[in-house]
Amino acid sequence: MDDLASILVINESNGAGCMDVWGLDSSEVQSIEGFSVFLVDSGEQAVEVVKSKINGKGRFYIVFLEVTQESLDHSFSIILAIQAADPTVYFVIVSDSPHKLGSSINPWIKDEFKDQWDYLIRPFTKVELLQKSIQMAGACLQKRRLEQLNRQILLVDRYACIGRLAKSVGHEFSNILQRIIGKVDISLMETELETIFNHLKIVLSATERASIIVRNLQSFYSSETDFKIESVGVPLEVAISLMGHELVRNSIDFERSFSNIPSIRLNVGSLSQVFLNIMIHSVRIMHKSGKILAATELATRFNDKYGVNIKFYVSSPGGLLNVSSDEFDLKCFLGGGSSQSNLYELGLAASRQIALSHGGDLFVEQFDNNAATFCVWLPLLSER
Amino acid sequence: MHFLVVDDDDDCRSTVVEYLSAMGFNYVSIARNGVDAFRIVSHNPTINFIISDWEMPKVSGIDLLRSCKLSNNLKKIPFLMITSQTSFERMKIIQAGKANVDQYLLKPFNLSVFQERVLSIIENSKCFLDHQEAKLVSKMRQMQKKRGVK
Repeated sequence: MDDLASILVINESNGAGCMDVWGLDSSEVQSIEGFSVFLVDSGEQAVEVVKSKINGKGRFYIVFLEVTQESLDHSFSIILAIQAADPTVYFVIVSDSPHKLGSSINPWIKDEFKDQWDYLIRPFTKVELLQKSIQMAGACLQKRRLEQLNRQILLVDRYACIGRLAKSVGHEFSNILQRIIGKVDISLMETELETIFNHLKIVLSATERASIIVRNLQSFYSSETDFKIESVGVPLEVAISLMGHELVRNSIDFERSFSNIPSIRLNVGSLSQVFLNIMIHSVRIMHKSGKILAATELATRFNDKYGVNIKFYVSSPGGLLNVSSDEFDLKCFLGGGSSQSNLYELGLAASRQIALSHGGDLFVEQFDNNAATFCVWLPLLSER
Repeated sequence: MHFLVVDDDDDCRSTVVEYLSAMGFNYVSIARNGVDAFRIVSHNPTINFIISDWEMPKVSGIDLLRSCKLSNNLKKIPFLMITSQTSFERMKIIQAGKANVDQYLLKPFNLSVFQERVLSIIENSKCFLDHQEAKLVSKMRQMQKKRGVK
């Protein structure tokens, strides 16, 4: 562990337990076997201590909670309050009666916290208490490091998306500026009014194109509250407006086949990022040329919830880049080939987070040497 | 001089054609992609200068350059590559250097920069110039010197 791992002991019942075994005193923080141990007398005090610890940029690893059969409900409400303040903390429930504890606690603990608690039955020795502390602190540390790694991957992923978007837009803008500079340059040397007029029309159309790109870039900024009822075609159009020239340059045909899908609740800005990312990745995995077909269909997912699939069928006559490609590892792209949870390469992790924030998902439905299908599933309005 | 201008963007291509015209070079062929360009240059022995965009569908500018440099008949034709300025593009310029591109031009560029690149290639590659063209090049150089263009 990086420094002294902090343990919080809640001893409301004044019963024999951690306090006695470790000889704790609530008046001061004690250093015991590499742990920094705090003792509090009440659940309310514990919640406050956890919060103030977070405010001081620190975190507890383990909370030891002394419970009795009579105080179970109260003790569990303390657990929930602490979890609300710090969802990564691990709990050890210290009890005299192990039999009823398991069945009593399970309804209280949410699924995501199921692996974040254990129990210790009185009486126990100092060695047993230390062993339990080491075991739980290790598990907590591992979970936190994993979460930190995931956050870093997401951050890198987002920067990579921004970089690719900047390159794509930069390229398009250089063409627009070229048209403007060129036509103005020529106009300055021109004497015939009609020719100058024609050049100015091109300059005007170039500036209009630039303003559309700027507007679409601005729509990329979106807060989490920017959800509205909209057709899935709207974010797709935004993505196409920014990506269309890249598709043309890479000799990629783009087709859409949108069936009559009801409008859904979506965030146009963030969803257009998802579609843009999928198209960028599609271009990258193709050998020079190919085809992208975007199609919609009604589909159920997540325990028969009704929703809509927005599928991107990607194919290339030269085949798609394979796993041995030096450029990137398709295992990452496919989440190891079996799991769909590790789409952490090429901006898909960030995209998947956006899909999840819509109550939907992003997954790779098919991938082989010749074709790939990327699918964004979004729930229909009635399901939300 | 017979120029071949290759660009899939109609406006950018016409700008280059108009720049050449403003410089006094009016014998210009055009192509929209690398495939058409290679076909045209292969069947027109009079073409002695190629100006091509990098990013194009079907066959890109760098592929056109490589094809030309691999052909005994075409390898001596001066090649001016036009591209965009991003870090990725800079990497491509190195690639183009390896493929013997004569000059490159970063978008967006103005007439003065374009003229300088074209003149520099003409002088360095000792392109065949008729009497009128030689006079034209000399005149442009003199005008540049007056304006202080190096």
